[in-house]
Amino acid sequence: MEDIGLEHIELLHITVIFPQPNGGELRAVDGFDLQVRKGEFVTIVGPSGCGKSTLLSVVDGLVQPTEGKVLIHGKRVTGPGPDRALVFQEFALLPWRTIEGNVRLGLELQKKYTMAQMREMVPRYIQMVGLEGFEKHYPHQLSGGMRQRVGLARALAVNPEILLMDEPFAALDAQTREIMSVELLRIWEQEKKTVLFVTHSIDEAVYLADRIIVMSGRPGRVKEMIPVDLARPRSLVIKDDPGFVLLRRHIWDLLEEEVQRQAGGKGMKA
Amino acid sequence: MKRWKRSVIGGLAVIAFLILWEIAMPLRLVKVADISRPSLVVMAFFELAESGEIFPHLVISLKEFIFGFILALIVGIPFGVVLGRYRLPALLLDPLLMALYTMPRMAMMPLLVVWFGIGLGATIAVVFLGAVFPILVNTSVGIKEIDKIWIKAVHSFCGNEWDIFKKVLLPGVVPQMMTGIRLGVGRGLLGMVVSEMYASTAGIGGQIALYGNSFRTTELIALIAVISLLGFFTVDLMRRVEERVRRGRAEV
Repeated sequence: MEDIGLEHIELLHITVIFPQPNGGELRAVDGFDLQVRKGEFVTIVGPSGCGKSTLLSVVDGLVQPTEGKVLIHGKRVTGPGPDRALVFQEFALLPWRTIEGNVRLGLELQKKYTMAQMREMVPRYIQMVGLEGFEKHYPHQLSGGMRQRVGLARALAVNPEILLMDEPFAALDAQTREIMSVELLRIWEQEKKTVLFVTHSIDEAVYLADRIIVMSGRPGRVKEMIPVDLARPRSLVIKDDPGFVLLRRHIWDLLEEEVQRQAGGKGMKA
Repeated sequence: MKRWKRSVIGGLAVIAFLILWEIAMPLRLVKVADISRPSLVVMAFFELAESGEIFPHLVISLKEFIFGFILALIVGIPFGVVLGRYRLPALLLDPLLMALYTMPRMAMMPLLVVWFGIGLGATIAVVFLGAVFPILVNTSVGIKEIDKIWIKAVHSFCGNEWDIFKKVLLPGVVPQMMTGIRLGVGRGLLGMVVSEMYASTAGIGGQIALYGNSFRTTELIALIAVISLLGFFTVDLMRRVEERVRRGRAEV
């Protein structure tokens, strides 16, 4: 794959319509455009049901857009590929596999490596997410934060260029969540991945991002793109920085507007 | 309560029961005919074993059970997986399966004798019919209940349908499938005995019918004990297999 431009990922006018059981249709995403540079960390925030997660599934190739297309290095996405890996909100670990076995899953599915090769590759990623010593544990023996570390290690293990993260820390408690953000940035600076990160948390969105995409309510469109110029590497102290506070306020206002608009829209229909 | 205390209390009840049974007839505690005595039953049991009279029948019964049961596994598991995973076959076959599942299978006994003849064939068919449905239905329900997010994860890492089967469905269905298999053992053994009693003079069931016809209570009870032991060991074997599979699953 030749790198033929600055854009790593291009979403061109993506529209996703899901047919409903009652015969109607649900317009989840409507004409969404986005360009992402190589190595960029982009966070996507928006009200519930705005199609954020659908958008990630489209980039991963699990969902085909009804209209529009996704290009990666200028090449159209038609299905999942080894250049992308998804991290799930629900972790999606296989409960009968050890941590080691779970991290190995993506490698096994690529069918490129022997068992011996995989056994050599896996420890690096377990170490990267700070889970040395837990190789032989099962997911139910770990805390939520540790489980998502496994999810992250599993995604990193296939050495993708793009990490797609679907509200990965939403199921964690507030403190664990902050620790995981710090960890994620550390790994990102070291591994140089392009990241698309969907979240509900404004703090998380600002703290992590090079650029924030604020989405409108359903059907999801780009409401505003906000570059984040806060210095890197960032520590949690940055959340008290005036720049951070201003951004947080601004995004809060944008989202509130959307929530109000949706509530108003529903009111008129009723 | 400590485990040994519980065993002692349970054991006391068994001993009390055996004593009561032993003295019931000599002391004329019961009016009905021959209920035999545990000491006689134990003696009859060892006589049957010593004379070797019981072994050919045991072999026949085991053969019937094993053939029928393996057949039930071969049919029940794949069908269960397919019906659990795919909508169309499920829509197609569910009504038919439910009809067969709820029908009292012993009512088919005469028909099976007509089709397979007296002896091995009919009994294998009854064991199969008894065991296949719990295995099939439980496997299919187990597949349906598997978390879709695991399937999505495998898809996302470029896995195909075969990968999903190997890495998610098969290991994921094991607990529910084993429940079906255990139920199947019970149904299969039941089918085996009833079928032999009805359609054969061979096998443990055939022997039960024979002794029953000549009112030989002691031998009858000894034979029932043989079947109980058979059931106990089969279920215990299944438990061991389950344990093994559960440990092996970690490697899948």
